Amino acid sequence: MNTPTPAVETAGLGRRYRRTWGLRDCTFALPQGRVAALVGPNGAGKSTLLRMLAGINAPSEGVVTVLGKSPRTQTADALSRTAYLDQDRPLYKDFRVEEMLRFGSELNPRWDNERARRHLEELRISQASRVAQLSGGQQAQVALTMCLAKRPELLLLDEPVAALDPLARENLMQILLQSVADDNTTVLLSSHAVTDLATICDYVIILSASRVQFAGELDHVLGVHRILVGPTGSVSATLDGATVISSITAGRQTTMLVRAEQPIINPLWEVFEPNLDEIVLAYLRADASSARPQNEPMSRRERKSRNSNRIIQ
Amino acid sequence: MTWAAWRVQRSQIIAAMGVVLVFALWLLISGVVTGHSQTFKYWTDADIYVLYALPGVLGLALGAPLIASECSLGTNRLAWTQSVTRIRWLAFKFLVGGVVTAGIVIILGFLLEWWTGAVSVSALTNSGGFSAVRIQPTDFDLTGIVVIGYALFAFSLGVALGAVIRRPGWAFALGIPIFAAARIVVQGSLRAHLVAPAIFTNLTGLSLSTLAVNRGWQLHSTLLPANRLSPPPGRTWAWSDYTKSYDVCRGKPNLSNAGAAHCAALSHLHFVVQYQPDSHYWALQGIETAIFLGLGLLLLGLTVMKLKSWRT
Repeated sequence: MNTPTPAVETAGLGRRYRRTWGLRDCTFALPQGRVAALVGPNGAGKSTLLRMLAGINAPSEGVVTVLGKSPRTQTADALSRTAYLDQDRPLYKDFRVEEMLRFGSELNPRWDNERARRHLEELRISQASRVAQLSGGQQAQVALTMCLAKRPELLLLDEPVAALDPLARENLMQILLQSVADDNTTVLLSSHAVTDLATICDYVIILSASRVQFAGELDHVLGVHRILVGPTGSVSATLDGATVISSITAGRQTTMLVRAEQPIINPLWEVFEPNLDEIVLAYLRADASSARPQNEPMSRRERKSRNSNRIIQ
Repeated sequence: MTWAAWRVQRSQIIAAMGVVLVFALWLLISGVVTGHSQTFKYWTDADIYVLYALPGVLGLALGAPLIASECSLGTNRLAWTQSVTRIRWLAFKFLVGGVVTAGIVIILGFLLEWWTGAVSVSALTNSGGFSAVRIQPTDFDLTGIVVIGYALFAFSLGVALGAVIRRPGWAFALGIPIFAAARIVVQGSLRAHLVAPAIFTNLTGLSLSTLAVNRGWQLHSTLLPANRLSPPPGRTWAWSDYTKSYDVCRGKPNLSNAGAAHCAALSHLHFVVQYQPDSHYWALQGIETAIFLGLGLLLLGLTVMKLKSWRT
């Protein structure tokens, strides 16, 4: 077998915290050189997954390899190949920006200080300012710079664009694409901003209810999902060979997003090709109405909205 | 990486130095004033307890935040995903923190030693608790090199507790009673016998004891049968065990020393004093310091095991 090592490979990966499973049954293989989007609602397990890939937390079950090695390996060499940006953007608050860079250069053999300095200069973040005095967005930029200056083979970014303005978002996407093109970096980033991601990512992992609902190349995702629009009541409990992800009924018309390996030929239904936004939204909608974990009872408001949605599964 | 290990701890180190500076000033002033006046007692008993606690508090203050504050602030997710292993990062921080702790304590130790000497004259006249007898517990704990052992043990204890509890405040709070317990056990039960004590005997008891006994640390003193230097098996050092006939003889009022000696001889008893002489001072200091340093290393090993166990 001559296939190159996947950048990230998991099989049955799961992590439990006390009695709740933060992530369960997670299986996918992310090839190198991809920009992968990890999408899902809050609490779906995105941060849990990223932390396990980064080696911060240990899995409760399953297998995970990052760049061919278990994150448990923890050798200096293995650690230098992966960079991780945590959701909380941890920085040493009493450091100056230049001290953060010095910290990075002392702890990373392949640190590119010039690149970091230049990047921060372009963002007009002064080297002498204290981290605590920077705005949330500027702190996020500093934390991102720390990851990029490490020149890793794999970038794991947890909500990197959350605190950035639209222009900064676009700049970051450009930087990431450049890095992929120049160094064959693999990027795995989680985000809510699906619209941004759709333009740059070529691999998608959809997490929902602590499980992987879908993982695959963007072309494949777009190829197997279809939007069906048709009259209400004409849908059978199961469409042949297709899984209904979610559906919305408005009066006499039902719109469904389905996942089908074979093309759907049904005279009653109009078939459309969805874009990534619509696919992800459908999965998020499905998660919002699906059963809750047993120790998290649904609120009254949520139960009412679930009943009125009249989801046909 | 030494700069990084230092810079991360800088604010705690400066705070600790500030606190120690305050105590140093107090020691300087009270030592000089008391030394000059010789009748003025510049401190209260409460102040002294603080001095005894100081090496431990210093060690815990620098050790508890080492791992715990990184975890509670989340910066461990930054530090542990750079290109160094957790153990290496701990090693550098532990080394820097430990060296700083030792440095501060060494200076403090010199100051404490000078202070106990300076106030001891006044202490004699004011029963302040310092006896200018360096091997006795009141002085022993503040002089010599044991303070370094105490502080480094407390430092290592703080680091270990921080690795388990992961909140610096709680690690510090839990460290205090554990440190106190260790000190009490070693001082109360172990120290007396770390080096074989010396024995002194006479017929009149402490009133005519030698200079060696007066400058030593008296562990036990009692009447024992004349052929024995320690209590018979099954008996303790308690005074009342053997003294019936001696008490009857001794009961006469205003008995002189010669008379008391005669009573003792009659009852086939003699006074036995078990004590640690001043000549054992450095041996005891060395062994006790080694004990605490050994405990500190053990705790460091446990910390490394905890970090490696992955479930963090």
